[in-house]
Amino acid sequence: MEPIPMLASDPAIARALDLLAPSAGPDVDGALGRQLALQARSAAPPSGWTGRLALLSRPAVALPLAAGLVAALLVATPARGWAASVLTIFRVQDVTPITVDRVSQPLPNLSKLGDMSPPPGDVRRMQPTQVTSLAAASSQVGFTVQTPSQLPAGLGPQPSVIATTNPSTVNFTFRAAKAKAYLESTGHPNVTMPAKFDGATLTLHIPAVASLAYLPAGANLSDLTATASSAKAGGKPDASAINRLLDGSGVLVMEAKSPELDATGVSAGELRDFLLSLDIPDSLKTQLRSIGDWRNTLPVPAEPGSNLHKVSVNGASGVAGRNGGTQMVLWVKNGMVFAAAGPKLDEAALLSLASSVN
Amino acid sequence: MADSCQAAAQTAFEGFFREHFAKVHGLLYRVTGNAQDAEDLSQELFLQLSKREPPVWDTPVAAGWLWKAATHLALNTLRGKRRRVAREDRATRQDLPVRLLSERDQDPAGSLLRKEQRTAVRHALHKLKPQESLLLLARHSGLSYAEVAAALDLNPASVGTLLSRAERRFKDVYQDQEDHHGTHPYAG
Repeated sequence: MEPIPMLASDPAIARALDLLAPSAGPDVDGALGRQLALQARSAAPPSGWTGRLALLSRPAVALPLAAGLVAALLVATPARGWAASVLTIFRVQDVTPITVDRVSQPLPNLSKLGDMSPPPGDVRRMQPTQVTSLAAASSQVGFTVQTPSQLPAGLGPQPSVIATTNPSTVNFTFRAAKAKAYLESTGHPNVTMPAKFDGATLTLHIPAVASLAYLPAGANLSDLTATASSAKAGGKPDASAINRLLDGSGVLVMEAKSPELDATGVSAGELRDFLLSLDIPDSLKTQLRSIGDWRNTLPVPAEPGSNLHKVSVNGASGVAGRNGGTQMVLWVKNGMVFAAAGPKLDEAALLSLASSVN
Repeated sequence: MADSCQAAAQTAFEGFFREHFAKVHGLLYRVTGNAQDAEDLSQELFLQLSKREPPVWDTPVAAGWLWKAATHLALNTLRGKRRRVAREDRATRQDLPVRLLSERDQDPAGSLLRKEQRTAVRHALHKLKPQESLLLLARHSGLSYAEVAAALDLNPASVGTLLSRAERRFKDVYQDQEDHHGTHPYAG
């Protein structure tokens, strides 16, 4: 790129800043093509309940359900075969908390190791749709939506809002050149992706999700609109917005079948070995390595300061505690993943609610 | 009729994109140090711009909006990086191998050296106030004084003074790094 003349009093400053310039200008034509494709894919701005309910699909507790590529990648199961066969290498049967200190050391962005379709931004923008009844929700998601019978004081037995999110599939293909460029650009030129990963694919099946919001009697639903309109489309889960939404004794219940991960071209063991070779904090590696049944255990990220811990929900494996500014419980039962969250509930109330889901 | 309006609108957007994309990308590349991140962030900015209601991208305010949004994004990124640099400083007290830009650029091992130098430049920038860093980066990315002023809500008449001050600060910090490095075991 041609240096930009700078009115710097000292040419050394201009030379220093020149170092930060890209070595070549961007491919504007290619970028324009991608921009037009992005615009075409981008849905109309959310409106009405669909927009408002976007928040309901993105609480921190929904990470394993909706934004689970990283988590799912990290817990791939061992393979029994090789290359050409398609392997279902991960299915949730257990959960465990892991502490991820994202602040001091950002995790590698796995989507940069290859081509992802749809792109990460589109995955985050998946919109839920409001439905009018539990029956309609069950029909949409393909399983019988269950409801809690034990609700905190002040909440009626019927959910105030019911919404569903359609299932989706994320395809990911490892690309050696992209991985090399990414690892080098992030200062890890010594980490190499094994050659056989080039062209290997992962397919993450994100399940349909049913979301039930129980709001205090007399809750001003117009507040939801204000909350939703403050959220940025495609943004990351915003725990504080969810907390405002559920302020008081409000609680959000989510249900989904297990996400599944298929792979071709690499075995799950190889995938796990490679992912653990990336530059992730030692404490996280230790935690991941210590997961016994890593073929079927979903690690639930616990934010710093969280007291997330393992619990039993009527004999089903789960995790509970305060995490990301909200009290949450997440459990797995008969191939289904359930989560409940409420910012002002205590753990006992939430576990009581969870135990009553039937 | 509607179709022809839409086609004209698209042509105008494409013109706007072609005119500004490289500069936006250049600024965000300097801030992030990563081509893919710069591309992703730039694309997101243009996507947001295309969705503005009422549409603005074919009006004179579009460029102002774009620069404001881009510099806001860059500021947030710089602030995050600045905090990380401060933490790293506290945690390791290990100084970067700084060498001022000189004839060493011609060294056959220049690639590694340039990488070290880039790191040193970034380190120095992150020690400035975010707005000072951004002033330097924005101006060096090709923004005019007027664009810098609009993007950072500055009085156009003060941009030159603030830039000079930022340059002096940058030079002092950079020089400090080198002096400090002179006592470092890795010093050549």
